[in-house]
This record gives sequence, C-alpha cells and structure tokens, in this order.
Amino acid sequence: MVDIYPAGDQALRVVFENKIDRDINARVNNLDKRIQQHELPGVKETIPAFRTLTVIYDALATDYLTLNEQIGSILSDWEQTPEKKKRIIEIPVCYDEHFGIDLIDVAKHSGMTVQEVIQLHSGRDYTIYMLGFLPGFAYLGGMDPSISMPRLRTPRSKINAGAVGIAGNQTGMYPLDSPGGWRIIGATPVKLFDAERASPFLFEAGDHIRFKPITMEDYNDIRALSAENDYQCQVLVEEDGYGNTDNE
Amino acid sequence: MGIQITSSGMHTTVQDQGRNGYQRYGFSVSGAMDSFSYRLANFLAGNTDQEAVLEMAGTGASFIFTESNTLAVTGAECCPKLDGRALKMNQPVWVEAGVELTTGVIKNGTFSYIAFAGGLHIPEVMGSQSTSTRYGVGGLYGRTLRIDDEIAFKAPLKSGQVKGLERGLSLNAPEKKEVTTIRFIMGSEPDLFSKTATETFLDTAYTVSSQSDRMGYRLKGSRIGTDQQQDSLSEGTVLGDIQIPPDGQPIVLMADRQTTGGYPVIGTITTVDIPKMVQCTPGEKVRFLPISLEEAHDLLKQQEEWFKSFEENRLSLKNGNASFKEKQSSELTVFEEWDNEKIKDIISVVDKSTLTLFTYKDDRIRIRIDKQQQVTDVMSEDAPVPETEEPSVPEQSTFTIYSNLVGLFFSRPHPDAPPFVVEGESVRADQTVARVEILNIQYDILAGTNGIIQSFFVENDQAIQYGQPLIELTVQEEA
Repeated sequence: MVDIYPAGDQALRVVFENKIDRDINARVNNLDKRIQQHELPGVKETIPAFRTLTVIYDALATDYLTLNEQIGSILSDWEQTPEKKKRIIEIPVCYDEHFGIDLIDVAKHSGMTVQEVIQLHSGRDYTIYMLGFLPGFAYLGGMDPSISMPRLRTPRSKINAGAVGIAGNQTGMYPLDSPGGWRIIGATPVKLFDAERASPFLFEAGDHIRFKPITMEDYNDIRALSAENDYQCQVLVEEDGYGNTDNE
Repeated sequence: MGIQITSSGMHTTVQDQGRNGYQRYGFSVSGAMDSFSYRLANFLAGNTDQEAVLEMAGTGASFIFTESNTLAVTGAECCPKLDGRALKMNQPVWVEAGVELTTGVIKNGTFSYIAFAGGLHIPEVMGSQSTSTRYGVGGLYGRTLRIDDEIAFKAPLKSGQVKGLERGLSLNAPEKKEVTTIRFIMGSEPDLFSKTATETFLDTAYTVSSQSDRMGYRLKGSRIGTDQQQDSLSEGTVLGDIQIPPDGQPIVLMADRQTTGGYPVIGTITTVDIPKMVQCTPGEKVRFLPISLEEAHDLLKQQEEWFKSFEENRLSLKNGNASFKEKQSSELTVFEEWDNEKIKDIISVVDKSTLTLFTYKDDRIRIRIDKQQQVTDVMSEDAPVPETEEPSVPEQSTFTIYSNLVGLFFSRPHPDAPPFVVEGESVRADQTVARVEILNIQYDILAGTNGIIQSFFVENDQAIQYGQPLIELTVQEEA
C-alpha cells in the first residue's frame, strides 16, 4: 500500500507501510533511484527515510498533480522490475580494545567471547535504511540480535568521529565527534564525512555496509592515507542474495 | 578587497540560497532565513544571480569599505548609516572606499540583509557559500562574523549606481497587527491529529517564544494532543513544517532544521509566508490559516511575477526607456515605518506609566512627551527641525532604562532563581539588572548608573519592544 500526500506547497511525501522493515525500505530506496533516473522536471531533491520518500519540488516548474501522476506511474512500472543488484561499501574497523572501550562489556552481556562478538558484527552486511541525525550518519538494519545491548545510562560527553557502536538492536558509526550513549566496540580510520572532499559522503540510503576487521597497524596506515584523501573504500556490487560478485 | 568588520552584531553570518541536495545525507540546508528579503537585496544590488549576502539578527553589524562598491539593505529595519548619515532601507547605494556602514538594533523584525554588487568572495563548500555554524562549514570559517574579519568582493561595480534604482523601492508596509496571520497547507496524512486537536490549533493565537533560532521557532499556546500512541518513524523534514512534539507546543522548522524528524507534522507554512513567520519577534502572536495548494501556488507565482516585472522595469530603465513604474504589492512585505498608530501607542504607554517626561529620537523621528506641561511633540526628521535643547533632568533625578532590543524581558536569570534586583535595592552602574532574550541569545541589561531601583515597568517573561521603558532608578552620585 502506497500513498502520496502533499507536504507543504513545494514538497510531497510518498508513504509506505508504517514499520521498520527491510523490504519496505528497499522499495523506498528503489523508488528514490528511479525518480533520480527519470530526471522529472522540477524535482529538486529527494529524502529517503525508513518508510517514506520526501520529494522537494519547484512549484514554478511543476505541480503536485503532475508529480503525483509521474511518481504513480514509476511506482507501478517498477513493481514489475525490482532492483536486483546491491552496492556494498566495505568499512575497515579496528576492534582493538584501545578503541572498543565497551567491547568486553558487550561480550559479557551477550555471554560470548570478544572474538565471537567481532565475528558476528563483521560477518554480515547491513542495509542503510536512511541517513540523518548527523551529516553522514547511517541508520543500519540487520544486526544480529544476540550482540544487542542497551545504551549507556549516562551518555558520554564526547565520542570520537569514526567510533563504531551498538545501541539496542542497532549498530552505527559516528561521522563527527558527538556526545552519545552507544556502546563503542571499535573505530574506523575512514573519514565518513568531509565537507572539503569532492564526494563529502561515502554512501547513500539503500547501500549496504560490510565491516572489515583490521589491525592497529592497518588502522594507522589507512588513517594516514585518509588524511590525504588517498584512501578509497572498497565498493562491491553483488546480486541480492549473494549471487555473483564483481568489483566495481 | 571588500569590507572589514568594525562591529560584529549579535549573530551575523554569510548566507545564500542554501546548501541544497544534501538533506538526504543528513546535512542541513541552511541559507537565508527570510528568502524574500535575501532575493530583494540581491535584485537591488543589481545582482541577477543569487549571490551570498550578510544576514544579521538582533543587532546589526558595522564595517568599513576597503574597496568601493554598491550595496542594498533589506529585511527588518536596522537603521543603516554611512559615516553617520542615515541610509534608507531597500535602496541601492554606491559607497566609496574608506566609508563606514553602521547598523543598529534590528526593529520590527528579526533578520536584516546586506547584498553587495557582484557578491562576496567566499569559497563554495558543498555547492553553497552559506554558513552552517553547527558544523563549522561554509561562510567565513564556518562561524559568525567577528570584529576585524575581512571579506573581499567577488566582482564589485567599478563605478556608480545601479541604473534604474536610484530612487530605491518604497515597499508598502502593512501595519503589524496584534496577531499575524500565517497561511499554511494542512497535513493530509490521516490519523495523526483528532478533529479537536486540529480545531484547537486553528483557534489559537500562538506566541513566538524566545527559544527560537535558525533551526526552529517555538510557539506557546493551547496544547495540541496527538493521536499517535507510538513514536513515529523519522522522515525527511520540509522548510516550514509545523511539528507537534509530545508537550503539544508547536515548533516551526526553519533553515538550519534537522534533516529528519519523528514528531507528527500538523501542516506546513506556505512558501510565501515563511518570511513573514521568520520576521516575527519573540512575544508576537501568530494564527494559522489553512489554504489550498492551488492558492499557495498562485501566491508563489504572483510573487515571482512581481520580481520579474521589477527586474524588467530595471532593465528597461537601464536601456534608457522612460517611466519606471514601481510596482507595489500589499501582499509582499512587511515592515513598519513610524506611523500615527505607533506614536499613539507610545503616548498611551507613557501616559499609563509613572514617567513625567519621555523623549525618543532616531533617524526619522523625534518624540518628546512632557506630562507636567501637558505637551506632546512629534517631529519628523524629514522636516527641518530647530535644534531643541536636550531634555532637562527631572528634579528627582530619576533614570529610566529603555529597551534597546526587541525580545522577552526577564527579571530573573531563570524561572526558579531570585530576581537580579528588587525595588529599593541599590545598584552599581555596571550591574546586571535584567536580561532580554531574542533568538535564544541572552543579552544582559546593565543599570547604566549608580542608583536605587524605583520600579519596573514590565514584568518577568513579558515581550518588549524597542524603546520601551523597562526600569526606573533614582540616581545616586558616586560616594
């Protein structure tokens, strides 16, 4: 079930079923891609979220009814040809206890060894449901529930940019220094957001994240390269459902 | 070069049309809060492109020209002056290098804008020159302007006025009413608000809170219940969204808003009325009027036509054609000049107060009310004014603190704290006696003289206007 509603006089919202769900979110992100491919006149910007796509338009170049019709036809079109490829961005993460200050607590909480937590955390791909909260902050879906752990009762006043953490059933990465109550299990040397870089952000809603465990030595090397903008994350394109792999 | 800042103002930033295209990545749009005044400033300065301008809030900035250029000041009245000579708002003016432009307290609104011919030499970051102070990105070093900052012009005019605009633009200034009507589009997603909640929202005149800033304006008034049992899932935000958080007090999302939000949205302010909302000062009241999408789009087109005809007139005059017709529209803008009603208001305030003598003077007007002599003088500065003597010091040697700001008056540092001062207390000249808050920025009011607090003219948490008497003291000479 899909609905389209006006959101003010220069935006509309495509609304899917009201829950956090991988398939529903995949439809949001597919619709987002298709709208961009169609280059609909007057569309200025789209904002994908868990179960909605907000479309900002220029009311002097198009109008609500026209867009409603165009998006409606894209929706019915695409139901017949669903997206099969998935784009995976590999994020190197150092799970050393130097960074993973809460790793032992998470392991205790889940009744596992530290190694098992790292394996479970890095052994699967996560879907980026949406970006928000901070520039480049990804809401990731798909964490193994056996390593979930509630937030700290008292948030820390500063978590460093690059920190990788767990909060409840969610995992995420801090793109900027920020206060926060997440359980920190590691850190990536990669700059997740850099306003001065040609592409300030590394990934989009609908992409997938794969955490790749690295050593402290790797961390320092990559961080040095990253500071010079000489490091690029590995990007893989796979058939959805782990089909043929081919590097992009 | 360009300009060198001599006074920073309260919150002066470089802004343009905003950092569009990055909301999907979690990066706020920013850009000029009052997009109408922003665009007007650029038009008046002769810019066809949307160049970056200075945006000022609360009190304006001042600066020296290190290179000659043309500028225009728009938005809320900020009393601009060139080397002390008053300059009209909404008028382009050629300024020689070495001259200082000063601005003062921003009145009858919240934001003022200064555009320069050819724009400012500020690098684009992520496609925009706008300042995002939250992330330290864009503008000048990602922050508000400070004293001694220098900004170069990008392509200044080599000489002369903007052709066709020598007389500037006299915009009709509809009176600011007791309650400003803001037109909006009702949210149409079902089940978010009950009929009663919607009725409450439409029936209430909401007061703009001082807890308002470039991210959002908080409103105070009747509480609106939401029907949602659970938190709703975050979704992309839209400029002008009216969110209803759990406390039922609306928040209007502005230029620096978070990119996504989870509070239910009862509606979204129309594009043409966002500048009107932006220019509402703390304490002002607004009421929301729902209109159709078609009406909203028509209004937007009318505004576009107005800008186009304005530009065509300018071009035709530039080409030597006759008769520049100033098109004026009462729909568009906003800012009040001195008028009889306002003067009457002042007289009635003074009349009800314990003041026996009140004088006020700015670039355009001089007011003197003497209750003992039963004389009220109001003189326009446009007319030749004989040099009058300064008002004589009243016998009892009282001193009145007048507000030099528009905002909310606080007699105590926070609601539970004791007041800064009480009646009968003796104070030093540099002592804080009250606080005024605007745009979430607090401004301490100092006694200004050694003396004894006689009386307060305003109450805690009351909205105050520029020039309003606040506190009366009995002057005591230094011991």
